[in-house]
Parts: sequence; C-alpha cells; structure tokens
Amino acid sequence: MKIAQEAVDRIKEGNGNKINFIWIEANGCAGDIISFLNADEPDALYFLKEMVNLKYSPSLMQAEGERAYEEFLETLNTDFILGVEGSLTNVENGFYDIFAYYKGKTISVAEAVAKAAEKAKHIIAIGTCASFAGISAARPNPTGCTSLSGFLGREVINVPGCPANPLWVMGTVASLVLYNKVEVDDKGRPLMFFKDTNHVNCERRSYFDNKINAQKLGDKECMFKLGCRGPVTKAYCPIGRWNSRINWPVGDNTPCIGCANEYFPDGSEPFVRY
Amino acid sequence: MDKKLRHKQMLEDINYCNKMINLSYCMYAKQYWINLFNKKMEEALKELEAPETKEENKEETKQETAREPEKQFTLEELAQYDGSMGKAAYIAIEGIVYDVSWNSCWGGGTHFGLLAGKELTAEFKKGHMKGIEVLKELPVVGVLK
Repeated sequence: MKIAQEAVDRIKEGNGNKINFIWIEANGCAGDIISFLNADEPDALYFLKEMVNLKYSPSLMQAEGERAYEEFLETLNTDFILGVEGSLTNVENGFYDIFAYYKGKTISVAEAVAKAAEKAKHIIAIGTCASFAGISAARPNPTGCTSLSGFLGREVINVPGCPANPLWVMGTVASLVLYNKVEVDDKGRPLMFFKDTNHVNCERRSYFDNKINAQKLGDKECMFKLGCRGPVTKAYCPIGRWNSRINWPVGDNTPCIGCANEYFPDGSEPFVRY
Repeated sequence: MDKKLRHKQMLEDINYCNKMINLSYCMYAKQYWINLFNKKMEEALKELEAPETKEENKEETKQETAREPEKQFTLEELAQYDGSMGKAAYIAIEGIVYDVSWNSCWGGGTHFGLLAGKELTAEFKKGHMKGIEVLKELPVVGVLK
C-alpha cells in the first residue's frame, strides 16, 4: 500500500507539468518585476516553485548573455505564458530597447516580443505601460511607444498599474494556470480586480457623498477637490491594498493618481490641485 | 412611473404586514407587525395627502432650465470658478456653463491637464468627438455672456 501510494505521489509530481513562463522587460522601468517580488501569500517563491517554471526573466534568471537568449529560444518551442512589462516601440528598428546581442546580431525587444507572442499560450501585459502605453508614451512620446495589444494588433490580458500590484499579477497567472482562462472586461482587464473603481470602496466615501472636502493634503476628509482620481480608476486598491495588504494611497493620506487608468499619466495630471 | 412603482410597493408592504399579523403566533412578533403596519399606513396616508404635483414640479424644473432665470457669466467671472482652493468648478461649452465640481472625471477641477473656469469648446470637440452625450448629465448653472 505504501509503495502504491508513493507511486501515485510520484506520478502526481511527475504529472504536475508546470507551464513555462517568460517575463520580458520592454520599454519601461522594470518596476513591475520588482513589485512582483513583493508578492505576499502567495509570495514569489511559491510562484517559482509551485505555479510556473520561470524560464526567462532578465531580472531573475541566472544565465546571462548569449546563454540567456538561447534559453529564451528553447522555451519558445514549449507551452508557455508570456508576460510583458513596459511598452513597445519599433522606432529606429527598436533601437531604444535591446533584448540581446547574439552571434553578432542585435535583437530588439520588439522583435523578441513579436516572436514570443506568436507561440505563447497566453499573453499578459503587466503594468500600465504594457497595457495602455503609460508613462513611456507620455506626451510628446518621442520614442513612439504603444501598448502591447496595439503593437501586436491583437487582444491580450491587461493588468495595469504603475507598477502592477503583485496581487493582481499573481491572481491572473493563477487563474490561467488553474482554469486556462480569466474573465476580462472590454479593455482586457481581469474582472476579479478591475470591476469597481477605487471610489466604490474608498474609506472616505461618506465624506464625498456629503461633499465634505479636505482643504489641504493631510486632512482626513475627501480629497476629490484636491485632485483624487479614485472615481475614474478601476482597480483593487482599497480592498487588496499594497505591500502585503497594509495600505493604499488614500488610506495613507495622499490622493489616488489613477495609475491603472487607460490614460495615465497624461489623463491624470495634475495629480494634486490646490 | 416612479410614483406608481412607489405606491405599488407601499400597497404590497401593507398587505404583507397584514398577512404577518394574522400568521404570527408569538405575541411579540404580532405586536411588531402591528406597529410596522401602522407605520406603513401613516406613510401611505402622508403620501396621499401630499399634493402630488409638488414632487412632479420639482423634477420638471430640474429638467427645464428655461423656467429659472439664467445666470450670465462673463469670462472673468467664470475664471473665478476654477475649482482651486475648494471653490466650485464651472466650464463653458458652446455658450452654456456647466458645473463639474462633483463630476467624477473632474477631480480637483482638472481633466486631462485642462483647468476649470474656462471656455473649453474647442478642447471638448477634440476630446469628445462622439459628441454631446456626456454633456446631458452635467448640471447647468447659466450661460456665457
């Protein structure tokens, strides 16, 4: 019986074919992978051990140089989920973001992403820059950056946020791993995190409803007249919060700047108005 | 329509209370339903007594701005209402002045880098190419002189 059970366990382990994951950092600040390392319950270690096989990540992988690019190429022939942070541009042959130098050739991120996107099982745009072009495409957008879905010409799963909250990314990947799909809204954002605006669950909502304003930053009342973008930003901040669910901007006495908005940052400026 | 629905609901509530009075065995529960019944009846009577036209009139005046004397703004006066320091935020589009102080998109009296207290017809046409659907929800406070 023991042996049979062991065998079953082994088989289970063997059959636990974790899907591969490629995380590409495009034209951005690489803030999303750093934010992701802050994940808590489950944390990044759980992600790496139990959820997926992270095959390629410029920040986290051990290999470097040409070997790293080869690992990327090898993973392309398997089942994998593609996660891209940062926006995409092909201006000047993608000179603004180099993916690899391989055997004398310069490979731009645009090229690598296009290659990977053809073969990926699922594609996630992580962060506002990848989802909606974000800060990389702020006026006047000298590098000609666009969102991932705009660049590829197809719909992808958008997980915006500047950076994307690790909870949102983790939840989306978990849904893909478990159910092979995730419910999205009309802009490709997972409904489980982007259904309500921050305004709906804000702890200062009764101040807003009774039109009681904060006169300056630091007051405890509603900061709408100081420039809070909560009412127009769909995200999960008041509920899931940040940094291991400790707090979020409004809870920490500063207005929401709408970083998960489609038009961030041009559409959110000025962040504070006196 | 609103009124009809309300009256229907009230009638249903009263009938329900009546039913529960008869169905309750516990005397405390019975008393509860009797009290609730009385309260609902009072509300219904008040509703019937109050002249219906009052509420309907209120709604009508909100929709028909022509009834109220229109406040006229010069550009300088409009500039006062720019939403700064807790003031109201007004914008003028095609001669009509709208109050955007509590509109979700106008946090802090700003919208995509534009400030309130100005004449914004050109920007509006550029940003909202689909047209005036958005404007229908905004409260009107006057006209531009």
